[in-house]
Amino acid sequence: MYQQGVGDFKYFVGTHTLEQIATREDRVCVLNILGGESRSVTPTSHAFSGGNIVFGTSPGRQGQVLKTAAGEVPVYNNVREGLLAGHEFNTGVVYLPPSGVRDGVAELIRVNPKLKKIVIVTEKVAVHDAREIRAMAQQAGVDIFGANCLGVADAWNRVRIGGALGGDAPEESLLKGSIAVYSNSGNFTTTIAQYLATEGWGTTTSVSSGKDVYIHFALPEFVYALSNDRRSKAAVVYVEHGGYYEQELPFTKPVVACVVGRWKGKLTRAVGHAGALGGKGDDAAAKEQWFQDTCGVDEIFTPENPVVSAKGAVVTNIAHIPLALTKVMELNNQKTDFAPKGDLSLKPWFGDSRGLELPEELALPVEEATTSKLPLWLSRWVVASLAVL
Amino acid sequence: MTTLELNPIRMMPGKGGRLVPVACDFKCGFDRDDPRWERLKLPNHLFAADYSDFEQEINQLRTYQGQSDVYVINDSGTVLAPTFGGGANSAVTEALGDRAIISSDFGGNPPYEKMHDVARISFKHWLKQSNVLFVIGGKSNNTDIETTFRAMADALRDYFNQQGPVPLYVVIGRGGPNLIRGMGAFKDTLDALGVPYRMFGFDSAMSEVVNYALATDEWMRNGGREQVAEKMGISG
Repeated sequence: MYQQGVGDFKYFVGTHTLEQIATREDRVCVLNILGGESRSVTPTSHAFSGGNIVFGTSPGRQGQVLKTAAGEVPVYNNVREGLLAGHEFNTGVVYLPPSGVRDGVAELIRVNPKLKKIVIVTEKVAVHDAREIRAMAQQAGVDIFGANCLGVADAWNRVRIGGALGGDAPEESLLKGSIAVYSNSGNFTTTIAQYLATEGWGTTTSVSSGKDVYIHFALPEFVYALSNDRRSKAAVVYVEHGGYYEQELPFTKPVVACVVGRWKGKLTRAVGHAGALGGKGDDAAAKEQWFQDTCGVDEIFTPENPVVSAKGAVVTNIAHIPLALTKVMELNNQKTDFAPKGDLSLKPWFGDSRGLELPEELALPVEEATTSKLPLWLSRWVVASLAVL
Repeated sequence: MTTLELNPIRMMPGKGGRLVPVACDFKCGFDRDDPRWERLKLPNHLFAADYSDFEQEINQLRTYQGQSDVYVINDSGTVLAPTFGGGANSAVTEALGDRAIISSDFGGNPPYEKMHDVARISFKHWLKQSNVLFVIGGKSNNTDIETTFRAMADALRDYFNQQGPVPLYVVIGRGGPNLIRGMGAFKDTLDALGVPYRMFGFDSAMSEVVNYALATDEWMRNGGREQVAEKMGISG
């Protein structure tokens, strides 16, 4: 039983366009806001997003606050207390331990009729609980992102909700552009955005989908919202072995798909991502073929063999994504968003060959560290410590 | 159960001429992240065949606070690659192929003690045969690089002190919070141990860093290991 949403899905989907996923108007409640991970991530999210977190919960800590550069976020024992204090929100973020996620979702749904979205950051949620979470959200008409979601972000709106996309400096990775990003890997969501910038591509909305067995906001939902997003001209998707989410998708815009995990076909249990386990029908090789069919190509793109169509390309190496996208967009008469920023060539920051006679390909000279946040005393230490080859 | 297979199913004659289906074999998988099935108290030997000694030892550390997923790819491999992140796990293991000893995901911001234990166990089982210690991940979103690198560097120093030095080349590719501090901690240890190394930041493509590690392993296999041993003063 589910509420009717957008599109012609056989289940509830509330998000019509990618632009709705992370907006400046969203108001957020964070469960377990004073937990270890949230303490380090939430202040950055709150400040980057212009102060979108209205309160958080942490049992027994009513009256405490989470300090951020954009002001203090009040903490209550539970969600109902926060609402009774006069706060309103439409988005929940769950940082609870795996055993508490289902109850946290139930609490959000039960006490807040204005709830529209939930981002579940927690990894290793039991499949049994994921089923119950989905059933509750479907009945209530709430979109769930995750679990194992590293957040959703919007470079146009300058909003980050949920996890730590972009780390402690999201503005460095989330550059305004025309490419939507969907990734089973939270880490690679940011990595892909950085890689795209080296070819001059910025992003619109970035979604870390997670790769649990249940992906609540999966690629079909993303593709629908992409088709309705006026800002996005194309998409980059990173998917792994396991699951049928990526089969026969109606892309209406160009896509570069990175499919990884051929070796996982040899495994009998999940390693890394809980949902990266499958059989012959949904392994990496099968997914490569699905996307080749979608893009109208019959080979994998590599720089040496740049097979693309106007519909897209398929890669198996994330470093090939930027060039593949540029080639695809050229066929669509689309120019890059800005001048290329940086490059992906090997640049050792530290090294010491110990006087060994290394081959030229290994004896790479050390380059100056490129971090922009190096305090002066550490810069001097780094320079003084660089080894002479 | 997350998976259940009854195969084959045979039809046996039952009462009154009816045919009754009988499962002749039964296989199932349990969700390791769901504690509910543990109340069945199934004997450990049912699962022991799935895990090597190394994997069992690492799995003792399995909590939600930082992953400790490992899988032995090739127990004769020569690249020991502690990997961070599920995506990195997929991409790196695929690229390393049979050169990799293990496939792993140690991300999720593990605390120092856990990371130290993970490294200690990994080194105990695999460092002696390794040509390359390859620490790799993308640009971390919340895993503290200083904490994890300091833990691994300390475990490496402890191994050298207790088991003796190993001819080794260290390759690191990483990004994230406290990156320079973490690299600095590792650098200090490697300098003290006399181990050759290269460290790459988030501005180098991960795939290129993997290729560098593979090339290093190839060089080590073709005489490089003996050269490193001589430089480090390791005899025999």
